Amino acid sequence: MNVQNRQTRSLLGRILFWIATALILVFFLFPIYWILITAFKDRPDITQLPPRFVPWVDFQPTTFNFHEILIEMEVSQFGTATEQSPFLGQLFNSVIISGTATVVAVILGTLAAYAFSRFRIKGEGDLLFFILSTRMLPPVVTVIPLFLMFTELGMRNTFHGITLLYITMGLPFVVWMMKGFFDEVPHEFEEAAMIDGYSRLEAIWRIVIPEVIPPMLATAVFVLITAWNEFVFVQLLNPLGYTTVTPFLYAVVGYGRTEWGRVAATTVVFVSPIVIFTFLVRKYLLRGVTFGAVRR
Amino acid sequence: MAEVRIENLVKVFPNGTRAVNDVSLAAPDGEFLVLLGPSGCGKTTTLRCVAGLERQTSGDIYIGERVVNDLPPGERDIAFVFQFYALYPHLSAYDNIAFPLRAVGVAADEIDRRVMRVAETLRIKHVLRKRPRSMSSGEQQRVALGRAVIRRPQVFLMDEPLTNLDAALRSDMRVELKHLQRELGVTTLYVTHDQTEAMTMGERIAVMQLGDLQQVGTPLEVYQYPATLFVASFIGDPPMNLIPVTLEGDALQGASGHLSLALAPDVAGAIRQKQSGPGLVLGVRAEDITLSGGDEGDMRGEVTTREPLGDQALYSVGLDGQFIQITTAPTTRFGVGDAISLSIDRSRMRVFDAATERALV
Repeated sequence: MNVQNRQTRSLLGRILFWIATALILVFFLFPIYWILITAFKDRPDITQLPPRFVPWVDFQPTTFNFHEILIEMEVSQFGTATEQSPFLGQLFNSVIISGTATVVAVILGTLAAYAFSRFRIKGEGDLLFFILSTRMLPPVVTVIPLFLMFTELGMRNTFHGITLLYITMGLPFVVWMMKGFFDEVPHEFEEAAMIDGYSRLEAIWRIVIPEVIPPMLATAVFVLITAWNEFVFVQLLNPLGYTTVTPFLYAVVGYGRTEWGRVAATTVVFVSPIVIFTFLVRKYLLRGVTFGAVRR
Repeated sequence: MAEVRIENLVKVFPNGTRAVNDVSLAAPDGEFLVLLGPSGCGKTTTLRCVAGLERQTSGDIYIGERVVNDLPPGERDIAFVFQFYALYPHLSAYDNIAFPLRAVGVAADEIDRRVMRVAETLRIKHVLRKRPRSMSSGEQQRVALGRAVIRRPQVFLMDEPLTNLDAALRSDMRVELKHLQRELGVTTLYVTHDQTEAMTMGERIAVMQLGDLQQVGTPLEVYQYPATLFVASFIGDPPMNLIPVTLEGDALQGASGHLSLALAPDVAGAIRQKQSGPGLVLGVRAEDITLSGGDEGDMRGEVTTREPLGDQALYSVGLDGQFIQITTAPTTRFGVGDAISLSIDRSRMRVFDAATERALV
């Protein structure tokens, strides 16, 4: 095969690669685009057939839906009565509840994982299995016992109740993931630091944690997404206080007719923080997922 | 600078493994003491106990006049060089070397001066800004040494620090490390499984096997006068020839009559007095046997192989189902299959008790 032929082939390969990539991107991103433009349409534009996809050409964008969900919402069909939207409050709840749950679960889980990774613990295998076993039931199965428990303990409609639940859901994942990552970090690192005059905690903080930050962030993203998206428990346990965004999304669908504009606008606001956070840590995510693939 | 003394050290791991079995050992101030043995012999565990990375089951460890049993590693005033160097990956070479000084809060300009001086000694000034990942293994090795020497500790503990280098670099580093240690005068415990390293670097060698200390001595002592069968077979290339014999009258006799070695009466008497049973093992180095074509030697056999090595020739001679190895001047010209006789240098041989595996004379 001559050189030119090989170059043609590689050019062809590149073109095919980009076409494939473009197709995959369109497949995955188009629904998101559709939701995004729907959020900026008024009611008549939303229900147009065939759908209108190009803003300022096919339809005139409006912030009407955002005004509705963020500030005040029409509650009658004729636009005569409005009431204040609870959305911002619930968004705030989502942020503090998932944020707190993620931070606490990652800190506690990381410490537990370090202990499992570094110390000889009696019944280590059994303990790890027990921790994992809390994730083996489908969560819905535990709804009724949890409901009774929360009622009895007065934890329904509270911040600490639902946050504690999300921490519990995130912990096993963090422990298992982080144990694997710690196992990849040679114990000589801490030993060297301890010989150099640092305590074990300082050694962990200054030497081990910087090593596992990428996988730790990746783990945190997964925990955050799980808590952020959780619907069933918050709907049942916190209908009257510290409700998060997911029940709002369910409620805003409306009765009698589907308020697609509100659903789309809510979705856009709801998804944005996660997208932004994931985007910010994306380079760590990739390293986190491939951690340990590199020989030390 | 200080003496390191280990008294009756025992380490039993929770799974029941007895890694170190009643080891007592002392390295005087400034000595380069090598712990030598195959993997699993307890040498690394001993070193880790001295460092405080493992807590011994019983026994005492002294650094200088201090008992350090209950001191955390950071307070023992030691430096440890790991086999994989354990350089902190997210820190530059400079920060790695400065790390121990920062632990004790040395001022920044003082740190800078000392790092530069160490970097100069170890010739690593050009890599100070690099991270460990982008350094060669030789450079990583030097940075690890730099981190060890910067604090001027009382004791260096080194766990196979040269094992990961390629052969040429390793022999350079042997010389350099030895030189550095002598210059600094810091007592050093050096763990290795490589007898060449032990012989060339150690002022004394402590040979360990299965948790037991077999022998402590200068390289020549352990080479020429191994205290146990294990040391005899572990040290030297080729290893010492070990031939099963019994004492009959004043002579050592081989199993089939091909070997008969008359001893001086006092030597034979000493053996008779000390031996625990009839079984003995004669140990003799390849270079302490001379070959001749005649009939007058201590053993008779037949040349099995001859390997010219340039500076010498290595012969194998079959005797009672085992091979005796002999090195001679390269000019000897016995051929494969030649019947020859072997004479053993009485002043340089060892006789071991087959049951206790200890040397008798």
